[in-house]
Order: sequence, then structure tokens, then C-alpha cells
Amino acid sequence: MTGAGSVEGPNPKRDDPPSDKEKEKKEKKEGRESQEEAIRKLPEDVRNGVRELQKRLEKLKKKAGTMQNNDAAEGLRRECSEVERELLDGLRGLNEGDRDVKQQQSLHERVDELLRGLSALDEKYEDHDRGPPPQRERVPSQPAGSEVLPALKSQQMKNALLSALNVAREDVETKADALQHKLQNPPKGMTAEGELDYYATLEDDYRFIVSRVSGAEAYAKKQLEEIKEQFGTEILRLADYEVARLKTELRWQDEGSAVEMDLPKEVVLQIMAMKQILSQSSLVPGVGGSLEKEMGNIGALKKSMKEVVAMEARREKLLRKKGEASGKLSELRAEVVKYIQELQEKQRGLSPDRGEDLYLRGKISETLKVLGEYEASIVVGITESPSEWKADGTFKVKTNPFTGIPHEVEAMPDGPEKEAACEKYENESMPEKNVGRLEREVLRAIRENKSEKGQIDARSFVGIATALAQRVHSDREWHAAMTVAINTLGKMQGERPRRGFPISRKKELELLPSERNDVFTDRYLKKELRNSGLTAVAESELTVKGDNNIYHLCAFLDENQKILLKGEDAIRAKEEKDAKKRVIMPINEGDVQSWLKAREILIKLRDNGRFAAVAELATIVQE
Amino acid sequence: MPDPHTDNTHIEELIDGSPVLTEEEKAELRRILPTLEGEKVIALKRLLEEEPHTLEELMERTIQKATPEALQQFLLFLHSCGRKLREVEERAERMEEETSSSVLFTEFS
Repeated sequence: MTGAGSVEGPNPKRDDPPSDKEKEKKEKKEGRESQEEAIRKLPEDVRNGVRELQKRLEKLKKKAGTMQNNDAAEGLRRECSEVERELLDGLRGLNEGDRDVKQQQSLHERVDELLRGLSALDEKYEDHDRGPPPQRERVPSQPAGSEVLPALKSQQMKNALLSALNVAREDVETKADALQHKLQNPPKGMTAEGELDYYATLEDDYRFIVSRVSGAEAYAKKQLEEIKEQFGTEILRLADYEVARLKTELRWQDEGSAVEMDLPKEVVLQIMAMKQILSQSSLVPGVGGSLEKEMGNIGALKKSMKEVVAMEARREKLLRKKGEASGKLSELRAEVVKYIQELQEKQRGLSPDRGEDLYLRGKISETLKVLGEYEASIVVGITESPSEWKADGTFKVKTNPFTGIPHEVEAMPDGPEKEAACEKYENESMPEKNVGRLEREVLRAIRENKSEKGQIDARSFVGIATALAQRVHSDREWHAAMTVAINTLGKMQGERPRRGFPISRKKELELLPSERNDVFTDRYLKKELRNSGLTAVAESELTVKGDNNIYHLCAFLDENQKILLKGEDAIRAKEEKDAKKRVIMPINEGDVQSWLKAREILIKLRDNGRFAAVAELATIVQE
Repeated sequence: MPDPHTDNTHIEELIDGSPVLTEEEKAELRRILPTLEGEKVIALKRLLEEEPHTLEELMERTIQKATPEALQQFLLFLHSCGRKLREVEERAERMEEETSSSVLFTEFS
């Protein structure tokens, strides 16, 4: 084997020193040429190698024939036969891949040796490019079953590189041995001219060795670059693809409007970690680094990819449940639309009775609000955390914003179980911040309701408390709201006990939106009265009777809880002493007793809770 | 004149000279050759004739078929054979020198 893959070394006579870029370009070119040359010469190298071995074998066989020692001659023939047989086996197995075990072991050993040699070569490049080589990292084991990276192709490239390096190294070793031998043992009796020729030949041999090493290094470097480029490009492509795919799949079509949901936080973090690895990786072209380090990075990336796949599975589960929730939501929407249509139909057929009209409007408003909350809770549940989903695949619906009671409890059939469940939720503590919010609302309402003289009427207080009652989510909130109202009421009463509180008609209307009252009345009051066995229905709407500023809590009496009377009709009913049809609570401005009564009612309302208080109120006014 | 198609002598020559058969295979063929008759002999002969007759022929055939990677691997293997052969050569030289010394010693003594 002579001159396999040899290339010319760099031209030392060049006038200007080449720049790094030019040098690199030239090295790459040389490496490529070296590789092509080596491949082109492979068949001839094999022929030469086989013929050389044959010649040496024939020579040995002849030598065996001339040996006087028969045992030695026989031993020599046997050894020649072994080598010859190995050669034949090798030729036969060249296309069959059926090397014997001994040969495979020998090759494996050689590959291991070359791996070490390659690392040394790699270190040499690092040393050359960046100074001291970095501390070696342990190569992690490759995760089984991972098909993310083109490991097979890279392995083939690596094998080709190792083979080429091995050929070069063996060749160089042989030549170097021969050169050393010739240098140490020059022929005796050479003429001066002969000696010159002899050393010129040796110099040629030396140059060949240098060029061979140079070519092999260039080739190795080129191969390394190719591996890096291939891995780096592939991994970056996979990472980008993964991100794009996750983003695409996370789009959720919601009733024609595309809602692009952010990637789950954990997926984002994982991808960021991968990108971090990539940014530090020698796999990215141009970054450089050792093969071992690259393999370590690949291992880490594979692990990272595996985690992304696991997260993806979780995300798919979530998406599936989101689909189910979306279906449920659509069903609910259809029901609500139908319900609202029914209400609207009913509304159109109504007489100009304001109360019933408002009641229906309030009903629609409430229904839409509940639906909105439900939708919001679903979206929040999906985007925030998969834990919002229960094991059976149903969604943990948020609580009713009016009552604080979960929808699933509200959906339970009426009975003791439902009552107990409702009570449990009602008694749960409310966030302190809501108490603060209510206080601020009360104070703001008082401020807004003050007259120019800084006065506020009693009716406004009751109105404030009632309005707040509709917004609170729990008895505790209710208690806080009423306490604020009562305290304020007492303070104002003490300041101006006899002057009364001029009413602002405009503010009254703003503070007492009938829709809210209707919602409140319908949703809780009626229910509580029904549960308490009373037949009276108290409406929280306050009306003004005449010029004497008597305020009334109007009552509508009917065994079927149907509105019969309100306002003046209710007062008339009282005057008629129709016990069955009256629930009138007069609050007479300037009347201390009526203020005290009002306060007493408010305290009862407060202490007994929203629902019980209204029932209590009904009882009081009935007395 | 023996039938050239079933001439066992010619087949034996083909077996002995085959560069593709191992010694074991050759021995096995020689053993079973006398037991073969008629078409079996003809088939064996045709098979042997189709195989490369010389190492050179075998080499050319394999080189034509082999991939560059396989050739690279084979070059490594050739080098390994070469080293092994060098050891044999060195031993042979030592044996020759020892034999010469022994002859000289005998002559002197």
C-alpha cells in the first residue's frame, strides 16, 4: 500500500501569508480532494496490497523450501497458509460481510484505538482554535427507541471517517518506520552522489508522510464539520418544527373566532431549555467542539425531546377535554338562546306592567351573565391548568358568581342534600379583600348620594344595602356590607335626627336598578320564602308614596307567589286591613322610631344572612 | 477418452486450485467427489468453473462489487495481514540465521 490518499501539502513559497478564511477554504478544498483521491485510488490500493502480500507469501514459501530444518520449514509453511487463508477469507467476505469473529474483534479493537486517536486529533483542533482544550464531559448513554436524530447516518459518516483516518495512520506508521530504518541504516559504500540521491529519496518519503498527515487531518476536519453541520441543522429544524407544530395544534376554533392559546408554560420552558442547549452546543455549525461533547449534547437533547413528547401527550389529553367542554358549552348556549327567546316572546306579550317586564329583562340579563361566567371559567380552566379537569373528563365548573355555589351543586336536584351542600359553600370564608371592596363601594355610594348640603336620605341607605346584597357572594360579604350600611346609617341619624334626608330622585334611580332587584327577588327571595313556607313575596324595590315621604317595602301577596299588588295598591291593602294582602314597612322620614325600626330590620337582615333575613323581614312586616 | 463433463480428475484440479474454497471445503468436496455421479458431477464442475480460478480473478470480482467503505475496511485488513506476515518473515530470518550459525558451529567443531 503506497501513497493511498496522499495529497500535496501547503505551498511554502507563497509570497503573502494566507488569511484564516483563505486558509480554511484551502484546507477544506484539500480535504475534499484528498477524500476523493483516496476513494478513487481505493481499488488500486487493494490490488497493490493483495499483490504485495502474495509476493511476500511466495517468497516465504520458497524460503521454506530451502530450509534445512524440516520442522522450521513446516512451521513457516503453516504460518504462510494461515495468512493466505485469512487473505482469501477476507476477499471472499469483502462483499458478504461474513468476517470471522477473530477478525471482527481485531477490527473493533482497532476502531476503539482510532476513536481515541480521533479524540486526540479533535483536541488538537480545539487546542489550535481556542487555546486549552475544555474539560471532557462524560458521554451519556443514548436513550433507547429515540428516532429523533439521524443517528444511523451520522454513524456511517463517522465510520467512514474512522476508516480513512485508520488507513492514513497505518500508512504513515509504516512509512515512518521504513524511513527511520533507512535513516539509521544507510547503505554502506555509497558515493557522494549516491548518498545525495539516497537522502533525497528519504526526504521525498518524509514529505509524503507530512502530506499524508496533512491530508488526513484536513479530511478529518472536513468530516467533523459535515457531522456538525448535519446534526446542527437537523436539530434546529426539529426544534423549529416542534414549536410550530405545537403552536398550530394549540389553535382553538371557538364559534368562528380563532383563539390562539399560548403554549403551556411547561412546554415553553422545555423548548427554551432545548434552545439553550443548542445555543451552547458544538453541533451548531461554527461553534465547534469535540465529538464526545457533541454526543453528550445529543443525549441531553434527546432527553429533552422525550420530555416534550410526554408533555405533548398531556396537552393532547387537555385538548380532548377542551373539545368536550366546548361541546357542552355549545349545548348550553343553545339552551340559553332558546330560553331567552322564550322569555322575549313572553316579554312581547306582556302588558305595560313594569314590574313583570323588568323581571323578565333581569332574568335574561342574569342568564347571560351566568353563561358568560361559565364560558370564562372554561377558558380559564383550559389555559391555566389541566388540574381543572376531573378524572372522569368533566370540567370543574367555576362557582356561580352570585351565590358562590358551584354550578354542579346548583344542578343537583332539590332536597336536603342540595341544601346542605349550598349551606357549606355559603359559609365558606370570603376573601378579605372583598370586604374592603364593599366598604369602599358603600362609602362611594354615600358620597355620591349626599345632597348639596351634605345630607343623605334613609332610603338611599336601604337602597345601598340592597344593591350590595345583590352583588355579594356569601353571607360574610353580606354581613360586611350591611354592617357598613348600618354604621353609616346610625351615624347620619345621630347627626341629623329630625331634619330628615332629602331624597335625590335621580340618584335613587341609579342606585336601585330594578333589574337587579328583580334578579335578587326572583333568585333568592322567592326561593327562601318558599322554603320557609311563607306565602308572602317581598320585593326589595322601594317606592315613594306621596308627599309625606313615607317609604314602603312593597309586598305582593299570593299563594302562588304571583305579584298582585305594589306601591299604592299595597298601601291601600294595608288600610283595608287585608292581612293576607299586606306587607308594608313604612319608613317615615324624620321619625326616629321609623329609623330605629329600619335599623332593626337592617340588623336582622345582616345577622340572619341574606336568605333568612328576607324571610325574617317578611315575618316582621306581617306582624 | 474420459468424458470431459464427468472427469473427476479435472474436477479435483478445479477444487485444488480454487481460490474461493477453504481447505475444509476442499477436503469435504474431495471426500464426497467419488460418491457423485452423472448430473451431480456435471453440476459441481459447472459451479467450480464459474467460480474465480485465481486469486487475481477473485480479487477483481470482489473489487468490482465492493463499496468504498468495504474497500477501506479491507485495506485495514490487508495491513493487518501485512504486519502478521512481517512477523513471520522476521521469524524466518531468525531461523535462517540460527541455522547458519548452527552449521558454522558444526563445521568449526
